[in-house]
Amino acid sequence: MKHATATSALAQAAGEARLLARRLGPLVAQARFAAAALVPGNHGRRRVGMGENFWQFRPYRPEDGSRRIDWRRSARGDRFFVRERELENAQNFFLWLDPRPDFDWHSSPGLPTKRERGALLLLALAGALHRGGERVTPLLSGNASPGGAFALDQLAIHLFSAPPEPPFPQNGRGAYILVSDFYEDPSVWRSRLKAFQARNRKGILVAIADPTEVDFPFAGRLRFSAPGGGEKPLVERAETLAPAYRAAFAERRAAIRAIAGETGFEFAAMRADEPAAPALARIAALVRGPR
Amino acid sequence: MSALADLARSIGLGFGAPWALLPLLALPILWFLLRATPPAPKQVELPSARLLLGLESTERTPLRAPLWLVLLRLAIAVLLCIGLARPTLNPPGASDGKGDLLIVVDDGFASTESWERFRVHALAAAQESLARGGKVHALFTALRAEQRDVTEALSVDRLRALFASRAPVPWLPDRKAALVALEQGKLRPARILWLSDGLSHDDDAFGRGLTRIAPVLLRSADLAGAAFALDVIQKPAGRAIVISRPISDAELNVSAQIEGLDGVPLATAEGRFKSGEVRLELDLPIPGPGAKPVLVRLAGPENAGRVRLFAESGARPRIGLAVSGGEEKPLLSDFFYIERALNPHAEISRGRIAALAKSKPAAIIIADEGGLPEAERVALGEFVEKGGVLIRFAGPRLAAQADSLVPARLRTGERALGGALAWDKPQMIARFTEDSPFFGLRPPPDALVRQQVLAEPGPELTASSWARLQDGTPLVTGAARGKGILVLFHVTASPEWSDLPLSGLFVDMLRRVIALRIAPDVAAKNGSAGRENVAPFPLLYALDGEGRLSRARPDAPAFRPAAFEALSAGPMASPGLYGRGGRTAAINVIPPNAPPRALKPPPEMSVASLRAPPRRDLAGWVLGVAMVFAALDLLVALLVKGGRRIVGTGSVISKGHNRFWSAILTKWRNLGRDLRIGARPYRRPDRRPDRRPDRRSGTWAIFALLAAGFAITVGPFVREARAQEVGDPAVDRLQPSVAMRLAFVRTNAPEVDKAARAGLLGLSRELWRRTSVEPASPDGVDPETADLSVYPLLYWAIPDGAPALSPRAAQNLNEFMRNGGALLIDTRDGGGVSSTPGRRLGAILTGLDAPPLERLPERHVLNRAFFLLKETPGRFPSPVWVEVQSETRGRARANDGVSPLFIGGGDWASAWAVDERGRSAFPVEGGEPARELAYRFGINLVVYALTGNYKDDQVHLPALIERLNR
Repeated sequence: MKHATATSALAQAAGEARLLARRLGPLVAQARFAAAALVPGNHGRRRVGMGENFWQFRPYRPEDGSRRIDWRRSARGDRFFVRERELENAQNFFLWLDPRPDFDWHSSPGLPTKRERGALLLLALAGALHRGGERVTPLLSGNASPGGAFALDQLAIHLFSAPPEPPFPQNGRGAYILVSDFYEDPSVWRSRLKAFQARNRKGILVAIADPTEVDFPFAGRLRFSAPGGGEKPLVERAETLAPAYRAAFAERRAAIRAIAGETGFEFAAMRADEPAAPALARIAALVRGPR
Repeated sequence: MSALADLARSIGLGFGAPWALLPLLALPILWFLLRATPPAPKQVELPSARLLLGLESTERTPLRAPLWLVLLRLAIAVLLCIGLARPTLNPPGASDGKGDLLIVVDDGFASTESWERFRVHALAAAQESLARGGKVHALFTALRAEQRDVTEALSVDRLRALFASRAPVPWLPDRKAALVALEQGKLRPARILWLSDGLSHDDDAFGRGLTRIAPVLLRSADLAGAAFALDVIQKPAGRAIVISRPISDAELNVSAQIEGLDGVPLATAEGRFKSGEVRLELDLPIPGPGAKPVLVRLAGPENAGRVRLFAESGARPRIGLAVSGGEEKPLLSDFFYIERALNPHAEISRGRIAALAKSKPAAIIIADEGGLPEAERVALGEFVEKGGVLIRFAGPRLAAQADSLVPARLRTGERALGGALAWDKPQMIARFTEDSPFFGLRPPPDALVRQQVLAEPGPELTASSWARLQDGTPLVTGAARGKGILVLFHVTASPEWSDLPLSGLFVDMLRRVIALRIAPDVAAKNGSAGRENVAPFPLLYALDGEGRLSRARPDAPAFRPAAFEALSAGPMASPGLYGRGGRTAAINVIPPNAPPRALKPPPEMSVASLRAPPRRDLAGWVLGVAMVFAALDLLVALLVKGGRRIVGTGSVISKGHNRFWSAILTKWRNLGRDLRIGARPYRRPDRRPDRRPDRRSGTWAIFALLAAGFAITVGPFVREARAQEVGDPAVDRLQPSVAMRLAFVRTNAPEVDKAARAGLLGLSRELWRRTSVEPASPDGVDPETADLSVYPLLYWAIPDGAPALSPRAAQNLNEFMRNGGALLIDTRDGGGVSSTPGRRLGAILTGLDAPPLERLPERHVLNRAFFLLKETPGRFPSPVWVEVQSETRGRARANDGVSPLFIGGGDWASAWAVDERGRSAFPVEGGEPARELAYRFGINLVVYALTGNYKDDQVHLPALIERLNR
């Protein structure tokens, strides 16, 4: 029911993401993320295997079937040669969108919520990766990993039903793109990312913040509360607190960035009110890697 | 607290529940709380709020609520307290209480200025008494032609109507009679409210009588500045008005103006009461020539007591002063007094007797002429015979040589009284006897007659003696000659023989004599000027309570002229101008000998001011203002909460934002959300439109609050205003003629009328739809009273048990049919003439001028007027009877052979009837095809009623065209 009514809105988001992805062009992930995977794809593994590109000729062995003999090469000499190709497989990207109510929040109705913005970016990224020949998989709770034809609409639905913590699929080899505001305690994220690191999983952290969270444009006597609950700090004169808050915010960002660096993750930060295309380009640059 | 209450009472403010004011003592505390406690923090959502934990604000001073907001809320609190304490303006006085209330109202002329106040006080007191369960009675003290039952228990509306219909009367209240009526009514009220005009009317017993019955609260009109026109007196120099006033403790300027019948001031006089004076005589100027003064009026408030009507103010008679013989010099001194006496009231001309007689003045005055020449005597004789008044004065010449033009035979020589050689003393004038034209005048005691001519005693002398001296000798004799009158003053016109010319009596006597000319038949009767035979004077102009003259109604009373002296104003003797043929008399409001004096209430009577407005409840207003303030506060809160972008986050207003209002608003919003949640459980993507209704609903909440407050405070006034609106009957009468419409005859059966109206409505709709006939909505008419000429077609469904047609209705209907109207009579029984209404039809239609009828022929125009019809079904198949067409029946074809009458039993209206949604109201025998035919019949009928035999002529069209072509 929930999904059914949301479908049209999601389809709209998916459409928007498609446009963005088309503008970005095909996206091929950098080799750093290319963990060994059994899925055919674009990433040459510099060894013999299934693929399209020539890798080497090797002398015929009796166990090879006669159909494997490369007759053109063999004709130049007396021996039979077999043509071998380079093993190529696709990079798998796992996407996770923070489902907490804190993340699904915007400061004014004119802005998208952080989650909506994250979904848009992820979907656009997924579209671009798909066109680049990569595989994209939403992280779902448990070990479920949806297969089937690639469809942004479907992907969007899965993105919005992500579990509150990024899980590890059993066959979860690939890169992880985790989108959140990272307001949870840094220690929480440290332990999570350490776990990723332990399994040699890498990826990108995308931090999305609402402009009011960055700028703190408040004044007067205010009681703050987070949508997801928690403590409700009372501030007597918010305007005097703004510099301290901004410093704390920057500090938090720096801590997350540091944790990401420790654990082999890339880190990108963006505001919910900035245009989607440049934000997407920043993430894409991280995916592509330095070339 | 009680000191406070006393203070409030002294300014006319009282509280119904003063203890509700007690919380006002806590105001300083409230001030402290509102001001010192920081405003509740504004709730702000911020997901990164946890980042704030552990941050220390550099400023710890809490914000204070802005001053104006504190004051606004304090004002709300104060107004609430005051409103709940039920404040009233002019709280109830000592006489207020439970039980029946008697309202005594002086409705004499002196109440005109206070009448509106009387009304307000009476209504307020009645309202209050009724609200407490007591009965209300009213006693009006002035006599009226129609009697009122004092014991009648009144509603407020009835009392209002009484006040509306009883404007103060132009006479004095009769409190004696009122007290008698009260005692006869055996009323036992618990308290009495006396709305008095403040005058005693020489009756203090009334006040005592009232206090014996119940405690009395007297609200008395303010007499400061009051003055009354007591009398108009004749002074040698002219008229003077006597003004009196009931209280004399201050100076008072008065101005009097003389007015004509049209109310235009002719002349004014001003005067001044000194302190302590209650009576003032003010000389009135003589208005210019040609002016006809009718009354003198004191400038100021309009009331009948300030108006004095003149009597004898008719046309100024022309008086001729006869200058006989050649030289006229020595006679002038005689005429001097006559002229002075007559001057304001008559036009005086002089001339030779012959010339004067020819010019036909009202009267000719001859002073001391004896032995008139033959020619002059004849001329004068003719003048008198034709209705003139000849007034002669005695003198030495007449005494020496009398002639025949005198009423009584005179002795030669004069009689001197009181001279050195005479025994007699100078004589006073005797009181006038009742048959004298001078009756009612008062002879002044100081007017002495020293010399006179004597008449020969005889039987006729007694009759012709109009005035006598105290010794019985005649002073004035008069006799009718032909149509005229001959009058002789037995003294000179100069003060030589008597003091009479110097007294005011002289003027009055002269004027009365001259006035006799107006009614010459008076004197003609049996040789004497008997007053009892004078025709009564009808009321010409009536004076109302406000002192305005208006033309009297034809049934106004009339009185004999002599009666006026004795009459005093009252319901039977309306004050005003009476008169006939130029002579006038007046009944004035105040008797001259009874100047109005101020009322001295008995000591046990409690007295209150009339000027103080009656008690008024202020709670509604105060609470209303509090509500407006609260709405204002809510508006402020709403601007902060819902309009973050309007005001800006953290602006001044938001600092004072109140937790209470925000809680209410949150509730409100949540309610809206909850209501919507069933329909749209997933609201994330359309969050933007989701918020807007919240703000709008908040705005509506404010409007609703304001509207409620407005309704509470203003509602009663609106209701009152609406109650005064009245329909304009002229418009209603016009309405049927503005648009063409069908009509039905209203019967005594409501359901039949309802069906008829619905039927004609349905038919009208079909006419709109199918033809160019576009009737307005149908009317129900009463054939007895309605003007039927505006309706082309009248539908009359006869219910069972219909009464016979009244002659008037029959006549009206006959006229209607004669003038081209069409009447469809429907027996609603399927057309069997044998059925009950059919059989009764003859009886019901008594008096209806019905033509001979026949069954509708197939080729009748009615069958072809619009649709081609073969049958005429209604709800039942039914034949229609129309006027016989064949001319051989010998009846003149009225209306060009168009039948004015259709009789059938199809119950067509039911077939045509539609309900308010346009659906058919009744089933029809034969179903929809039959209904269609019924509509077609109806359309044909209307078209036939409107166009007559036009379609009949269409038959001849080919022939006509052929003839044109030829």
